[in-house]
Amino acid sequence: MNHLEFGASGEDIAASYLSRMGWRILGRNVRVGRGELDIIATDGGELVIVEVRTRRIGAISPSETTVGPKKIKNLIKTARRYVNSISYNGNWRIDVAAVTVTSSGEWRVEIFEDVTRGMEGGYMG
Amino acid sequence: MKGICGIALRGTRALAIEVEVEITGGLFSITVVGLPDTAVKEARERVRAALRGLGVTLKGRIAINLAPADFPKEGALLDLPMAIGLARASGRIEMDDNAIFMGELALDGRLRWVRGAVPAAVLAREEKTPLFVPRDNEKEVALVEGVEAYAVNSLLDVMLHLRGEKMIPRIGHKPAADEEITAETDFEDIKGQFAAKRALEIAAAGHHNILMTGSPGSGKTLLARAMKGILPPLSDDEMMEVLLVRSTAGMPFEPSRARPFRSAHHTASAVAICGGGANMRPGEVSLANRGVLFLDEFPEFSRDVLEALREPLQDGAITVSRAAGSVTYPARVLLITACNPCPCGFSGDPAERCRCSQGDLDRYRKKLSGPILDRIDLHVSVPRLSPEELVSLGGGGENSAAVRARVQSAREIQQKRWRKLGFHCNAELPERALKRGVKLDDDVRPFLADAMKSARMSGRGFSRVLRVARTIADLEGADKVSVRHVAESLSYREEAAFGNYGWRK
Repeated sequence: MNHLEFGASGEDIAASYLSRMGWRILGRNVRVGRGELDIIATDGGELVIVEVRTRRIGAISPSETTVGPKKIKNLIKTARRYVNSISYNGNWRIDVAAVTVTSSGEWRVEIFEDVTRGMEGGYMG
Repeated sequence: MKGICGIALRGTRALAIEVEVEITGGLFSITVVGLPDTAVKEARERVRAALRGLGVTLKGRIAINLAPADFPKEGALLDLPMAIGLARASGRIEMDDNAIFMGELALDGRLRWVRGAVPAAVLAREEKTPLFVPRDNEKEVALVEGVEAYAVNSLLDVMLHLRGEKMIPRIGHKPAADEEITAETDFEDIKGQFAAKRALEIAAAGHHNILMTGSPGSGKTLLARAMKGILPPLSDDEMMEVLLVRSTAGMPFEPSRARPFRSAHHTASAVAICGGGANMRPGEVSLANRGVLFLDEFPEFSRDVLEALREPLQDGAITVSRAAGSVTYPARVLLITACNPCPCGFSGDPAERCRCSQGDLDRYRKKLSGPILDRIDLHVSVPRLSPEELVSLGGGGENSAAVRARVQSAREIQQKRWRKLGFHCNAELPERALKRGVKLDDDVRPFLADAMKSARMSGRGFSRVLRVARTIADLEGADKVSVRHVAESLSYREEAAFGNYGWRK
């Protein structure tokens, strides 16, 4: 399994996890201009753009910490474009799904909600 | 003003700031517009955290507008109105009435003390609008009569009150008590120095500025501190002024009728003394409003400061103008100044020898400009006491309370006499009013003419002598100024106090 396949299976895991939580998956790997959004879903209330990060346990940094300022900025930009393109007026947010493979081969998913909250000063101008 | 309001300070006046909130769909973000400073912008973090603590999770794109949009807003006191505005916009409270809110939010929703509660209370009273202040501001607000104000501990308190679930009792008006005024030093604790004490009494009675000249250790500072004890207590209106300035400056206030006593070091800048800076805070001369400003080592103050003092001494107010605008603070002070007679400090001392050259003396004396000396009515020498006097017991004379009683009655006489002309005290009298309003005994005119001739007094010097003589007469309750009053007044001229060593040549 190369790194692309590894990432893709992480996204599969995350998507099925979200479905099991009752979210409705609206799209996967949606291309918007140059960017791509991993999962687009709705949790019943809001539209949620989910960025999936997958790592093996013991990797230098855990999955959720691999979303840095630059990635956030790009995510917001791409997500805004998508939301505008479908003319959506409601509330939406960006979540990070951190997928980790343990040493025994198990997959673990953790959702970090609304990761851009409180970042107005830093990334959103 | 309408709806949910906060305040911004302009001088000692509060300005109502309307807080408008709009929430639209989108990615969560808060934008604050209306010239917020950094502290106001950062409020969104505090507000968000405090609201989340109450289970209010904000959603969508939020715009907060602070109106009027062209007036700069500063400080954390807008936290509370912003939080209330957000709570209303997200449907957590219903509120149609106008109200003023102020307070800095902690992340857990507690409210912290803010400056400007008294100006806010005055505004709320004018606008007949309820005011919500942090619990720590309750004491100052209680001194303002006739305002509907509520002291709250936290954001939750306010929300419960607005929802009508748990009402907060209104802050009751609690005027300052008429307690006995005490200074750290009583007049009777100061040995000797009767001339200086008498001069201070006259200064206190007529609101005359005074310069004390004396060698190091002769008791100038002690005397100045004792001055606090002979000043009459603040009236209600005066106390309101003091309260407004202190609240604006963000200084804690004890509800006391004692007059402010501020002393400034001679390294102080013109901004520290007169007010200003980026946020146009009041300076020492305003903090000492209705009280005493003590400037020790007077000639050592920088020229800027001394010159800048001329306006407040003349007008009883100071206008600070900066790029951001201009504000006027009250600055009616009794100026007590002290200095050494010469750079080494021992000129004219019976025991020590002065080591200053004539050049040193001239330079030292040139530091005080004519215009500033013109605003000082009383000059008194404070000589060092002899060892015998210092060691002996007693010798302090009257206590401060007795002197204060005389000062107070003299002030009442003056107020009654000058009310029609719009003055409060003799020191304020312009020359015209002086000539017409001061009644003299028949033998005073020839006496004054003689004195003027022999002392080569100027017209201004003459007015000053008359003003001080009027105060001396008022201290005795005399209707007309007699030769005796004038004679004493003459002794407080700088030339009389220092002979050839006067400040001016």
